[in-house]
Amino acid sequence: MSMEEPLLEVKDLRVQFVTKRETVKAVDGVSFFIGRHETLGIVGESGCGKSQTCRAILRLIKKPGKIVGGQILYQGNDIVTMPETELRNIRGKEISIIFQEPMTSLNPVISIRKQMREAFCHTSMTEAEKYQASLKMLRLVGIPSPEERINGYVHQFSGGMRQRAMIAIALCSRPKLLIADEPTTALDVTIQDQVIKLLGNLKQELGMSIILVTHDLGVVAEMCDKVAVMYAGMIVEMTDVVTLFAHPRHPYTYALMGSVPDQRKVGSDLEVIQGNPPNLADLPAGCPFAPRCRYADGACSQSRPELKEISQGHLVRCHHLDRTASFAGIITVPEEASDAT
Amino acid sequence: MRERIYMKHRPLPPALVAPSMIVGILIIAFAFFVAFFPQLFTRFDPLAVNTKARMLSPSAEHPFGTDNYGRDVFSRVVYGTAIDLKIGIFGMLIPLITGTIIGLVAGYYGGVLDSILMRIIDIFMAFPFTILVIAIMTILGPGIQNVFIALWFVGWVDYAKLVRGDTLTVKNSEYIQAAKVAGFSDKRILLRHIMPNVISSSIVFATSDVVLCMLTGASMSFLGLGVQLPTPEWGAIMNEGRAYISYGWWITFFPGLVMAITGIGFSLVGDSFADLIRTKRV
Amino acid sequence: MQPDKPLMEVKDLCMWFPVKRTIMDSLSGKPKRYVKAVNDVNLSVRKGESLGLVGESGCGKSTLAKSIIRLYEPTSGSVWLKGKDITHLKGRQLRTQRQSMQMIFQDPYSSLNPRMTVYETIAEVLSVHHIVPKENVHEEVARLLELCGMSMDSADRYPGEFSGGQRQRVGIARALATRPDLVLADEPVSALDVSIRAQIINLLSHLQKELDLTILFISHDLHLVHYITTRVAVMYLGSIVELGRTSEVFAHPLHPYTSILIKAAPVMDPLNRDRVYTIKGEPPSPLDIPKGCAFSQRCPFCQEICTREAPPLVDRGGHLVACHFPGRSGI
Repeated sequence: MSMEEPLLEVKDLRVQFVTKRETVKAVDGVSFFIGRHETLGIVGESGCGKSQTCRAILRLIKKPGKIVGGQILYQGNDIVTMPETELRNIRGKEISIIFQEPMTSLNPVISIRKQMREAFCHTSMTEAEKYQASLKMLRLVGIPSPEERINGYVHQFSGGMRQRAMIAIALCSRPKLLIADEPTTALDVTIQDQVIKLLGNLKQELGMSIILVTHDLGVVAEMCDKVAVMYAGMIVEMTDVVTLFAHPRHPYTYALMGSVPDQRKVGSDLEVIQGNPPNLADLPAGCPFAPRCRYADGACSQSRPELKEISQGHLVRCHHLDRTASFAGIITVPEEASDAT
Repeated sequence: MRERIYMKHRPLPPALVAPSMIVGILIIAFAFFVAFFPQLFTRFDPLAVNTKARMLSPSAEHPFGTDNYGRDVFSRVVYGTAIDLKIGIFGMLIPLITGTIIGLVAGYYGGVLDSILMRIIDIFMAFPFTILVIAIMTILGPGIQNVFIALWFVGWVDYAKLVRGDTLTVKNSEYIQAAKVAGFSDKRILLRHIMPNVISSSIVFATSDVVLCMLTGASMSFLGLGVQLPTPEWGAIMNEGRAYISYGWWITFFPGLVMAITGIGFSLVGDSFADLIRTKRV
Repeated sequence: MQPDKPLMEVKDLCMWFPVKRTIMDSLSGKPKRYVKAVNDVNLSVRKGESLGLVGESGCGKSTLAKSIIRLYEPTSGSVWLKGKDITHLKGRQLRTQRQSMQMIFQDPYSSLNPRMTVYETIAEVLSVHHIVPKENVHEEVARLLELCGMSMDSADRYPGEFSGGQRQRVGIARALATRPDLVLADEPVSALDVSIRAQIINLLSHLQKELDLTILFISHDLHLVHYITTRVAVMYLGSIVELGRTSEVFAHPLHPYTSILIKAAPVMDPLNRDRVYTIKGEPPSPLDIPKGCAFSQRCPFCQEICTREAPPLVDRGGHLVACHFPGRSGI
């Protein structure tokens, strides 16, 4: 991790969906930064705002959604207020995004080759150069016989290949930042693992950063350097991946880890998060997790806790950090274990 | 995303009282009222000939004027309401039932039975509805009974097609699989599980079918094939007025207007119902 | 029934779906093609155990379950319940027999009739099979709902008013209404949010213990299967490649595919990332299963015999494996 300027810095981002009936606060004050060669995981359940945060970064929020506040600083320039022409230079070029379903996010009636060529449209390359670069990209993602497959269409590829094709198209322009929104959720375990390893290799080869959005804590543990846990549109805990699994400090993070089936839990009940997921149109005052939190009290429903830095790089949004200090992580860090003896 | 949507247990959906629905229901209710209690609306006998009051234009005494026989057109229209409503409702009802059953069976069991039924439906659909009805009337002869028979013979096809389509979709749902796994008989599955879930498009269609049947019945009378004189039926009245249209426009106009309004009433109900289904509030 | 006779047995079960042919195909004598979803599967389940059926998409686990429960008619082979061959039952006999085997479905959003209230859904099962006398139906519905963590207040509502987790509870209550001997759970939590899954998983665990239920648990989630089952069968392209006690199979997988699956599944442990293994290519389609071992094309240890002969499922002391060279891959 470098000490230089972060590649992307998000400050107090707010995204809302305003309809006649209600206002949904999809993203409610999210701040984070990502450096070069770093993989940031954003983890949370459906409706927590992680996907909207990613789309906001490239201003891809669909009506009636709107970015209503905050800044998204890419290399010093604010994406939120940038003019459209400048933004187009960033979208698909400096910052690329891949989605969960290749069949719906790639154009089914345009050949792979044409779609890859679009990624080069801002450069001054000749057709031949673009073609060679496209082939190279397909090889890089592990698609066999790229010369034959490049003229094909999305539906002619199998599931894992489609995902690779989507990654290839997204990476044609050698972006500095790749946003991956649940890229492996719909995939089989073996294919998922291949894609995870591929992204890791590409990160090295192309020297890029990745924002990985997922609900799967296992994938987070496999891929990420830093993790942000989101709930009800805000970040409730953020730290490096080892600390997150060794010393979670937010009750939601702890409960989430406890609720995932795992061989280490055989014989005992899984942690259950009582209650229902939050209604983003009607959030209670105070901490959004309070209605479901085992450790909550009166103070929690009155004022919303701020994100506090409890140790180097570890931020937590909770009023009762004293109660959460004793949380046992799901892993133990060897140096700490030996320190204790 | 779905986990976020919660609806509290609600009383009757307020959507049921959309303005168009209310207007439609009022019109229909009024029409029924007139059909059941025509005496409350007019003291004239619809069949009473009165040579002294021939071809009178609309007035306070005769709101719809009189025809060439001196009969009060208003009372003829009033007494004709029952007949037209009967044609509309019963003309729709039997095909609704038979068509639904055929559609359910064809869609659920598939196979050869389905193929045969579909081909029969295709043959029927190759001809315009009215032409078919006329063809059957020609074979059977005129009279209101035969109008019903013709409507029933031809009308089931649309319902069968609608229901079969929805049945094909629904029969592969997991709740139907669950019903099979629970050991329910085919009959039970068809009637209790599939039918309630496929009938909504038919019901919407039924409301416009009522109008279609009324119009067809009226057309048959207009052509002289349906109701026989001097029975008052809106189409028959309009037919009678044809010859006098330049100086006795009211004879044809008013029954037509009344038919149009009644038809609109049914259509409004049908449309509102379709809206409710589309927005899943029913 | 003797104590150690299996509760349910599947013998040489095949489920093949014919591929639609045009008239031209028939006339030109093209050979019939089949999607061979399930191939000669042999399985047994003992009373009170929970057997997991695990594999990736297309391996045939759901199809196998649906064939056992007669949602599909098996192409060949037999299904035995409590020592009786139930494969060819029809009509009323079949419907009566169905009480002994029930299913929990995957999608809580489509496994309940949207036009029937929760009460009606469960009561119908009770009355059709006369599980309890008419006067006691109300009581029994209440008991079942409570067993699954729902209150009777919910009984008069329609499924549309409930969340996925609650609907799944209703689905489980419905499955338990006939007091079945065997319950097949087809990916019961895959369609639920992560924090709700734990609730349903715990519920299933408790129910199994309390009611001594026998469960056939189908899932693609290895960690879940490891957590909740006592025995596990691994499927690949329509065949069982490994079968044994869960702890044993996960600790010492004998089949290369099992070992790869285990290594590939992401674990919540950032300090343990480099689990190396080799696998080539993508799963072939069930239309064209390769000759010999179905896994041969992708297996890192493939030898000549593997492409010729399909290995039989061999019992090695309670741990069955279908491989010519089992145990190579050592975890």
